[in-house]
Amino acid sequence: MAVSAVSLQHLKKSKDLLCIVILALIAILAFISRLLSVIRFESVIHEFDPWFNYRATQYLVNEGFYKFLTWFDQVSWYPLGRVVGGTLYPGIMITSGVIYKVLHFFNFNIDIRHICVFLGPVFSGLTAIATYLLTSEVCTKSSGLFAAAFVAIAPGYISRSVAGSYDNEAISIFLLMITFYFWVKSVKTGSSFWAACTALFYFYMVSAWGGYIFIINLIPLHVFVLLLMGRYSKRLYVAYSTFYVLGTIGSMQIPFVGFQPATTAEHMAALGTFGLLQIVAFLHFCRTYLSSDSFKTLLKRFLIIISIIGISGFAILQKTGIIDPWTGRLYSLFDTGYAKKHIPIIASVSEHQPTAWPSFFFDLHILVPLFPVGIYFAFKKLTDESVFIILYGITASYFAGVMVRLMLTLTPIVCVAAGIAMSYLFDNFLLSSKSKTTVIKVEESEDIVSSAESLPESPASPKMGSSPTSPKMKSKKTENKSSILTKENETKDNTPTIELKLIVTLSMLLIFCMYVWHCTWVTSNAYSSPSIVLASRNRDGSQHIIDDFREAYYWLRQNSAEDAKIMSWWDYGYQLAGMTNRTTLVDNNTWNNTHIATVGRMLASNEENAYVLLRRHDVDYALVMFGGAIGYSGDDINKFLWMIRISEGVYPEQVKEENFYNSRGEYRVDDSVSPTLRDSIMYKMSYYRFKDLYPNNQAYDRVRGTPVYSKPIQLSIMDEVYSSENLLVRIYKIKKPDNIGRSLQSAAIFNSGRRRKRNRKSRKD
Amino acid sequence: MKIINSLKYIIPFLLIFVLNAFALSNEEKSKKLDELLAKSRDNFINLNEKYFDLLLTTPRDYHTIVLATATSPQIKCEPCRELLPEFLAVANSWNQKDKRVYFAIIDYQNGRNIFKKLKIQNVPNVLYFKPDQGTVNPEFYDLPRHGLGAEELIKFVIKKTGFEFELQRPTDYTQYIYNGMIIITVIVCILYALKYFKEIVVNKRNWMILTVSVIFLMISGFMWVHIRHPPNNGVSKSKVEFFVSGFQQQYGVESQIILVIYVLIAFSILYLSEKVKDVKNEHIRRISIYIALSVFFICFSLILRIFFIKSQAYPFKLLF
Repeated sequence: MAVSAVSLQHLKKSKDLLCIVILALIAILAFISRLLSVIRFESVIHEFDPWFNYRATQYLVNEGFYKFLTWFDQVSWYPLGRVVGGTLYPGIMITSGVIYKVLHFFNFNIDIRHICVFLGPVFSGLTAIATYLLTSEVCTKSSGLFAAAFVAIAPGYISRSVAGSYDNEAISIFLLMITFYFWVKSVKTGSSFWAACTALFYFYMVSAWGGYIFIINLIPLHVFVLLLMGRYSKRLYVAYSTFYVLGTIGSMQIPFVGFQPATTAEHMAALGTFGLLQIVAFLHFCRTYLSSDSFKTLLKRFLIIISIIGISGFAILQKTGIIDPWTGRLYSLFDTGYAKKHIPIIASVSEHQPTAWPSFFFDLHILVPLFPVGIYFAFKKLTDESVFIILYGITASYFAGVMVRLMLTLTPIVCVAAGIAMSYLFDNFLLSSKSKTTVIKVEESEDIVSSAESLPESPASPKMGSSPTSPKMKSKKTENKSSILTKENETKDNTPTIELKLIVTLSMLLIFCMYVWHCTWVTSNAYSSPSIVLASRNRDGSQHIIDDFREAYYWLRQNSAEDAKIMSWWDYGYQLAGMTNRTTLVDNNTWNNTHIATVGRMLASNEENAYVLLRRHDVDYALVMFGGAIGYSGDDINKFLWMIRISEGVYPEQVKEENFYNSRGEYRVDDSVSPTLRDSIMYKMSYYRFKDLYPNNQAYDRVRGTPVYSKPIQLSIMDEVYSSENLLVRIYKIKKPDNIGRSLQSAAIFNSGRRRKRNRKSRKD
Repeated sequence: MKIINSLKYIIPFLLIFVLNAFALSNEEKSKKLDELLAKSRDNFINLNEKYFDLLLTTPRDYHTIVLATATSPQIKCEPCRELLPEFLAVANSWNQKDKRVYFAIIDYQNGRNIFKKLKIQNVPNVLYFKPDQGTVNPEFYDLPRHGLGAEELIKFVIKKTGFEFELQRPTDYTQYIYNGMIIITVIVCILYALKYFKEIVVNKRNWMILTVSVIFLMISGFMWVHIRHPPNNGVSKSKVEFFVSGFQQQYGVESQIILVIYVLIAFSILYLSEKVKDVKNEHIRRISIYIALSVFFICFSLILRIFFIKSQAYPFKLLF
């Protein structure tokens, strides 16, 4: 007997150790699986927004924190400039800045770029741990391990956190999960310490990502629903009051957020719930002095009156404009047609489109159908925590349905729910809880105590087996356990036979393998491209790197004057600023629609008008992306219609979309091209001398799949100074005004040696 | 010279005479047209072949906007049905009686020859006829680009006629009343339910079914269908097509199929992880586990197969 007690104690200890080891392995796996992009390409910052974050981090590290907070960036949005310190979420830069300082303090002379590149993967490992904590708080440790394993490689999350994708989302999913973990913990324990932790991480989240709005609405919703369910408790009161007060004060410290928590509609739900909670607490206080009947009537009337006053007061405040109305992006979540009608710049971003079912499957694979099962189990054992899981699940699934981008917030909860479902399934088929309790009952009473201690997080569920093992570990342990279990089978309980156990376990293992294959495939094929370096395959299957962007940016960095102004469409603004260190007109921080529209108008105008505008904005170089030579479909000619639409919104007289379609109403670049499009400098810059690449007038645009305009293109206001290897990036230098006051067109015609008379005539036409 | 000089005086008279004659006929015509206009409740003329010629005989001093459509149920023209109220909203917004703009509708049933004459290949179409111009070469409104909304259509009308007017949709008070009634009924229902069917409202099971079904709808792409209004299914080479290839595209029926598959998978997992414990008979339990597993595998393979249709580069499959 004593021996068995010791072995059980021993087992419990080794279980904990196993749990830690598995969790550490999962975290390492999460880190490693995100490194494909570094292995394939190199340690480089990806895409567009990360380049700005990288530049800001460099500024922070070089200039110090206070200068960073008051940073006025003259290099972007020429001639307006941009108040950077007050218009960004500084969390990610500060995080890497702190890591940089700490490492340098210990004399690890690591480059800031490496910290930025690897920040996403490192935080993904932490996310796995945070998910484990949250899930094991809600359910069991084994479900926590499942959830951690799922979230570590779920493509929906990998998409935003591969190495090099140095963006706010990379750290904020970790912050989301850890905030929720502390919240659940504080509701469970009623300790203001945990609630303060929640507030602290909430503050961190606010500093890192605009998605904090999700937290500040979900937690109040949780509180509100708990109140409706009659689950008010002092624990809830302490947790929410502490969190709300500390969290709100904290969030106001971020310059970009400022007084928004007191004025905008997005934060009002939190405030309202806070007020409601105080009232409910007061009523509960009253209850101790009143009879239960009179208290009930008091409660009902009070609630009705308060809710009416609250809602109407809110409506009045919003109507009168004291509280700002909802911002456009948020509004498009609820009225799905709103953005398309009113804000083309939101509608033009592909991330703001609704989600078709393949995206769900692509990003979550087998977890998609497991998700509702997990929610079912959360209902089955309804506690304060599982209510939170349910609410998170339903809201996140709605938001993910409306906007592809919010798939990111859905992924963790899907993993949590799937983890819960899977742990229930394996509890059924790996070890029989009933048989275990019978075993324990046979043994001494102190063993029961110890087994109860091993399940401190679920005292209400003696049936729950806790087996902190990953699927693979479990299959190995199956044989060991089954030898014990076969004995119990004789004692007439409902445990499946070993053959069934094996089959079910193995088939689930097969599914997990497929999940892993799927995730790896998706990661390597879809999410590991840095998008500033393109890769294609040669005929023999070897990789061919297309590095035109960096090539052209570097040319600019080396060959242009330090104060040169570069005009390009806003998509490339951050990259230009980050890589060339030159002044840009517009960039990916789309704060000034008029300025963007002006750039669009320049590109859409003919040479004469464009030159006036270009001179007015002191532009030295113009840069376009042209994919026609290698078949890169995301080039400027394909985006051109959006540029026209955006500038038509501001300059309806000067730019008209319909002029850019030919007589048949088509957007073509071949001989049937519309004259307005043909005269626009965008078209000219894209196709200038493109024909010369091909013999016998056979120039062929590989993106549009058509031959190009057959006459040679005259470009007189600018000189082509650089085109990258595959013609992907074309850079033009704007000419200075003519010395003797001619227009540049006539000067060009004069220089080409043609007669001037003809030129006059053509100008009259 | 004299003759020419006298002509100088005669010409105006001649002109007045001629114009008078036209004016007379115009008056008659407009009378007739106004009669036709009065026939319909809205501000449009319902054309057939006869009226069409009447409306568009030269000379005319008015702008004409014609909606060519096919509303008969045999021709299943969904956009025609959607465009009609929008067109009427524009027509009814026209309030300047002194400046003459006629709105008219020609249905394919009433005027096949007209469709042939104008070479209208597809419906719906909005045509604009300038004053004093034959029936040929009308200007077409670019429907595919501007869409079916009245807001865009009115811009077209303003641009072509040169008359400013604003879109006035009749305030639909019935909508407000309808919504208000619904809200009130819902509140009353909730109160009633709380009073008499408390057990149903506070029943965990009902809430669970509600939540889980909402989640199922969301993850199988019904929100996409709701926002994008895709066709229910496609037809290619006279065969009904259920799945469209492409990652950000889907038919309406796809979501339903996927939903069913997901539900089956979820139920098989649910059965394995919970219900199987309650089965007492060992043989039944064994068989049921096998059934649940095979349902699971078949459904999952189906999903993989369908996903392969959506994205041809997908390398994994299970049973088929």
